Amino acid sequence: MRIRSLRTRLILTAVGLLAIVLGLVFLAVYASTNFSAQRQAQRQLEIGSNVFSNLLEARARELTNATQILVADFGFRQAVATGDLATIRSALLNQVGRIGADQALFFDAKGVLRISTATVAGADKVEVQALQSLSDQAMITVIDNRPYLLVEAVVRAPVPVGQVAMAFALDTALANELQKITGLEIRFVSRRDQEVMSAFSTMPFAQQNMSMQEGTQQFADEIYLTIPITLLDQAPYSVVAQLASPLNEALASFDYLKRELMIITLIALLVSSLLAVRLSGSLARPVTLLALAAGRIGRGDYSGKVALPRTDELGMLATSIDEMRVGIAEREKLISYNALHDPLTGLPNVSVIRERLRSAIANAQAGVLAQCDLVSAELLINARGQDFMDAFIRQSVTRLVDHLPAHALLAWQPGVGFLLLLERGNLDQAVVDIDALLARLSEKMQVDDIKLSSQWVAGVVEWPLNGSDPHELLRQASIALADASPGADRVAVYQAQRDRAFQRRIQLARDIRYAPEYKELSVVFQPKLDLASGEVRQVEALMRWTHSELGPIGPDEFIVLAEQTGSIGMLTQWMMDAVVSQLRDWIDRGIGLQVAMNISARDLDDPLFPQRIEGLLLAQQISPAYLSMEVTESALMTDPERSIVSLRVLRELGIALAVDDYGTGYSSLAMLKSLPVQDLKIDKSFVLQLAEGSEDAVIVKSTIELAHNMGLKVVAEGVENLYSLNWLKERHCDVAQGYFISRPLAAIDLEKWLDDTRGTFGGSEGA
Amino acid sequence: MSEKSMPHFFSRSQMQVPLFMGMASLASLFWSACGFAAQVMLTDEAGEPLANAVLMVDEVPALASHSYVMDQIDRQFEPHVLVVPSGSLVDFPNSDDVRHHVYSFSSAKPFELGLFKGSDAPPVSFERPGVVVLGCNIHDAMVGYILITDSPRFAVSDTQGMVSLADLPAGKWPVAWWHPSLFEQAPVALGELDLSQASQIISLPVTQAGSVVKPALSPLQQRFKNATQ
Repeated sequence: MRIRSLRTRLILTAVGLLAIVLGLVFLAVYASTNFSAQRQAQRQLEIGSNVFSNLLEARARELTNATQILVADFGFRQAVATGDLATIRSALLNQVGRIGADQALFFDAKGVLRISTATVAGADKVEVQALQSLSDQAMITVIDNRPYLLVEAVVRAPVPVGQVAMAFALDTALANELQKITGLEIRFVSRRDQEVMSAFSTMPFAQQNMSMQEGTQQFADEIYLTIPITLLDQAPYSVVAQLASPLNEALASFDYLKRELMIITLIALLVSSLLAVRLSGSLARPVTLLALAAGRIGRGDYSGKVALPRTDELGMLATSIDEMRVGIAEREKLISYNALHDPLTGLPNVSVIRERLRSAIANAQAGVLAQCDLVSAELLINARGQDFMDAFIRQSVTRLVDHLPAHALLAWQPGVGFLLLLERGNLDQAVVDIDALLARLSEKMQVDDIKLSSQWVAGVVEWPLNGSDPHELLRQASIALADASPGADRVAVYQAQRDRAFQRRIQLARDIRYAPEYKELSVVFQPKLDLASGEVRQVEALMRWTHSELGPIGPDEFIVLAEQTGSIGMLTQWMMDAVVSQLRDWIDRGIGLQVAMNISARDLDDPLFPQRIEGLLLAQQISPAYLSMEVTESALMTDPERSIVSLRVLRELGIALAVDDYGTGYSSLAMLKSLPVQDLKIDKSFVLQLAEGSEDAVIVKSTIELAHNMGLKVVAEGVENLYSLNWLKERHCDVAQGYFISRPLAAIDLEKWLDDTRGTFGGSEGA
Repeated sequence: MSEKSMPHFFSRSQMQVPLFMGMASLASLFWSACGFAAQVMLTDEAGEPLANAVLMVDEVPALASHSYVMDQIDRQFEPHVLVVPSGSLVDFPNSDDVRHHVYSFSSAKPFELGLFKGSDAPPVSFERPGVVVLGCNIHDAMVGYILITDSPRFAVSDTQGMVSLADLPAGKWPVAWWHPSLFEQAPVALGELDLSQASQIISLPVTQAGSVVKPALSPLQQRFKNATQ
């Protein structure tokens, strides 16, 4: 059985140890008293046997003296000397009675037994069977099968005339008498050839069968320590006095001691048990309290103060646990605050929004969720740095917090922007309120000595109309945000069908990475018409993606996605391979076309990009003059300095460079002057509607002039009618590109188109 | 032994005592037909001089009777052995400064002289021949013997075993001997002997108490031991 309780274990250990010690003490005392009792009995036996022998001798001396008195009596001597047997017998009987002998014997001068008082006069026929000296004066004899102590005296008148012997029976009476003095049980045993003739004992009859051997003997309840004293040993006769010391008596003297010890042992055990219970209680109780307190802390209950009114280790432990409780409570508060708040703004984060949404929806409330984001935040960060951005955001927060509508919760989530949860009100009111907030945010703001204006947009979703899952609602707000654009549409409301477009974008962004692998990509070439000569010497290579499910995907859609999702580098690489191998093919077949391909800002960021192109061209033995590259104006302006470095490397390779989509960005022509580019491609949005006197026409015309002044050739895209073509030709635009000339064509179609249209467009001379 | 030691008082005819007689070569030199002083040495069985032995010669003229004294000196009877003719009176003077209580239970003359000092005690008359063993009731160690005899001549051997008989007529005469070891037995006849020969030595069948090792056993034990062996 396992003992679980510390307290029980303490008690058992303490009491167990004491019980063992006391048990050992008790055993030791018990054993030593037993040993001592045995020793005592043995000692008593030894002393007793000495006393016994001395007593027998003393008795013999006493009797001898008494007998000597008899034989010294003048009258008795006279009777003996005169052979007066009757007188002698009477005198002997008288003396026997006087000294308590059992019988007297008289031998004449020749040693013949003449009188025995044990028999009647004239029939003095006793048989002295054995006789052995015990001491100087005493003898042990066996007369008629009974043992006697015998003393003798010679009758002198004055020469020896006879001898008197007094016999004292070794019987029960003597044994009893000796027992009183020695304190030992005494037994006289006479044997003839091992057969007991007589036995006299102080002990009960049952114990008379005692073995004659020395040692311990047990009879019923009594244990005796015995010692035999051989008084007579004359074969075949023997007389033995057996002395026995009852061990129980010796042991009994220790009974009191043992009883006392037992009582003391029991009391000690009882007291120690009580003490152990008390002590273990005083140990275990506070431990239990501390365990309960620790359990409360473990469950997150930090309310109760932990303290023990004691100064020992347990008190210290309680103090430590309490300190731990306070510390954990503080840290947990901080952790939960951090978990629910944004460290930058101190506003709640998305988790709080989610939680509030969940509980509001659970409470059958309705409201609006909005996500607000700064337009082109990435540009701002790139231009001013993250610290500036952080300061800007913090300042924006201060602008908002005091102007929030009622029942609004404002949150900031890094990477997401502001989240605003309105728990009351309808959608219309919400859009108005949010628009007002965006207006406040978009006002000019002074941050670190820089005054800047910013543009904010918001995506709004109604709940629970569009869903009851906070995650889903947040996603829908994000989708709506993607639809918002600066200006009138800066607040976009989520609509279910817009969600499908978003899903499509997600799918395309995912699948585009696998497009080269699935051979869904292809290249088409759009001719570039040299307006001066009317010839087509250049083509722009354009990528086409035919999705296995969704069909052809427009470049405007997937290029942007590829740039946003980082797949653009892979597309560029694929494009390069395709263009170079096409160039190789055309050069081999004598078709001299310069192919322009588009590269992104990310390609310019890649320092190894020029090397790869060079390696590719070298591998195919193609002159760099066959290749040109077009970089959009916005790509160039992301990091103009780095763009310049990369473009110079490309230019040094001998590759012609063009600025694409010119007019959509914020670059100035002065800035373009520092770029190693040869061509400027005016964005098609300017070329599409070239009506005389229109704003676009003014821009295009002045752009052509300014470019030419800077030594740049001008390419106009989006030429879709003859008017535009002629207009451009008249304004000395160098190259035209557009559907009016040709839509982008596959390589084989392009070759056919070139054959078919040779000379069709004519030169500027012909126009 | 028990048969041998049975008492046969004064039955001289039944005496069967072995006789030993030795003659010295020089004895004839001192021989005299008309009276001579006989010098005889008595020895025990072992040839040691035997004191307190009595030699009696019969059929010779008696010497004049005189008074007999059994003195008590240093708690001893003096002499140890006194020989008196029948009908003699014996004085018992006490030379010690303590009293004595002289008695005899001998059948030849039982008597008792109560406690007395000096010459207080009257003389005792010993009429009949025989042996009287004397004791003192208060001094058990005192033992003395009075041999009452009808023989005309007698003498007691001194400590060298020498017996002197003066004016003994020459010739062979019946000779008898007695010693305390015979206790109350009558003197034992040696037959007719010529004591006139010089340096005669007569060996008597006596075992002297002093020459015998006293047994460690008590008399009773000794007897019991002898009886059982």
